[in-house]
Amino acid sequence: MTGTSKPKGKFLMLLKNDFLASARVISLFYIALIILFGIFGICNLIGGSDSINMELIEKATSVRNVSIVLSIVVSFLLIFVTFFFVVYDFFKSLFSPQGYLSFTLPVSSNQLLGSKVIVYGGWMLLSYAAFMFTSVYLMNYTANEVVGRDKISLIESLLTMLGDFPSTTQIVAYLVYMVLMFFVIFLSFVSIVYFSITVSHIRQLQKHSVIASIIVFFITALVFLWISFKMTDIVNFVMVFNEDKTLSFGILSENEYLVGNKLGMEVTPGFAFLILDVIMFFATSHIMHKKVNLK
Amino acid sequence: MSQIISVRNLSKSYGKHQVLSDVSFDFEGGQIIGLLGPNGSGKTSLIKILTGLINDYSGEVLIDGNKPGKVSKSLVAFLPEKTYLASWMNADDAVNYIADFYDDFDKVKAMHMMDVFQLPHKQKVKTMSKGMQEKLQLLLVMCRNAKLYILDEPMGGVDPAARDFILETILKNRPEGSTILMSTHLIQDVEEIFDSILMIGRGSLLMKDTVANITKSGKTINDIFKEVFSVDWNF
Repeated sequence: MTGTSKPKGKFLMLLKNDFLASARVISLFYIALIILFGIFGICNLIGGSDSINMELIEKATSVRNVSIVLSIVVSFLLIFVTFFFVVYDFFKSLFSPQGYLSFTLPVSSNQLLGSKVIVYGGWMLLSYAAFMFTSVYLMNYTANEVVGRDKISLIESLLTMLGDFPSTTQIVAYLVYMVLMFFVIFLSFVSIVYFSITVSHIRQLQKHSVIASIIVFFITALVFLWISFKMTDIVNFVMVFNEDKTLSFGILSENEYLVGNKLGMEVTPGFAFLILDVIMFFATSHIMHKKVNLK
Repeated sequence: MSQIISVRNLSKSYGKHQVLSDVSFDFEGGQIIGLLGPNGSGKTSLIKILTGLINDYSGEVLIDGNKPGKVSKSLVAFLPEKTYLASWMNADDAVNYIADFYDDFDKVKAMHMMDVFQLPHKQKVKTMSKGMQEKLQLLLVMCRNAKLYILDEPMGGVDPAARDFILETILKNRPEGSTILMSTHLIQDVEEIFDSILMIGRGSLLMKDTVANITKSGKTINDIFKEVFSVDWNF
């Protein structure tokens, strides 16, 4: 008989089981996407071959066009399916009778919550990445086919029109900034959703849990925005794209970098959201541990 | 023998409604304890506190010397009244899930019991009958070598034949030296297996004694239960 268990090992088990629970549905969409890409690739090969008759090439072109449209549709649906699972599984595994199993596992509420954030966060990011990749790749391909011009060369022409500003470093910095901001905003969104569902299952609210979770969601989202605006007012930390192709960071007022003919990206809201995410994580975990009532 | 359950001045309320009021008791390990009380007496709240499902209470609760938490949860095998398995799981998935989290789970025994219980390994929980789901959950609990088994109405809503099956499974698979705390309304069916009784009513502890002491007078536990709680039904 063993009384104690390794917490890290149990956390890995949580990750494994949360992944398995979600993968059985979400993975079907990835498989569909891979099959569609496969069809697209095969049709492309057939279409590009000289030794195959015209009729077959025309058929392959039609199938390829359908696969392009379906790929974009499936990758778009993937985002919604994943989001549905982010919400549904969180509710189902913790606040339905399944909660009797989840909350009596030898793990902490931080671990229960952390596992879901990691697994579903991973799925969400992957779904956005799949959508972006599918859209950009296939749209670029279609543009090449229709316009006969590479999108990248189009971008290069646009950049030439702007002269040397912005530099490649600045473009890369901008892209990194956008990805990080997207990640932080997405994290905030999930943390607000989880917080709302959890709060709506405390005894006083659980009779009207759906309405309560919607109201709590909007109130919390507004509080997030208000705090981030306030923090930006107090300390406006900005990444500035200077005309001399360099990047600099500093605390500037809005007028300073706009009037000074500088291009700048605000960093403070990202930090504010990150801090709020951490606070929300522990607040949700605390409510889950202390206040949630399983029916 | 050390105290497997120790409760001191336990109180729990939902707003103004007091469900447990200053309850204190201890139990040594190795017994089968009957947790008795009518609906709304506070049994479920007490079970939820012991299993770590409710954490906002006043007083002290210790399971084998540990406050309800990760360690106590690894010592307790809990069978709730509800079907708690995810609908997408099949019987094998459920066994693997429990095996992942509890080091004391005997997977080989579970696979064997599944065959004995005639539970199809690959059948999804959602397509199982209520009886099959109950068998599976009972199997998952009794295949653990736990120190304390907390069974909430394990025979509630089942026919007499199923009751015998459930009772036999519990007694046959209970590890030596382990403790069982079982809440039930069906006192007549199970009173002969209890070593001790804990009777709760209106949020208070009404009786805590050994069955040997209670039955000295020639009365059964069922008789005592009726005596204690008949006042609730006499107007």
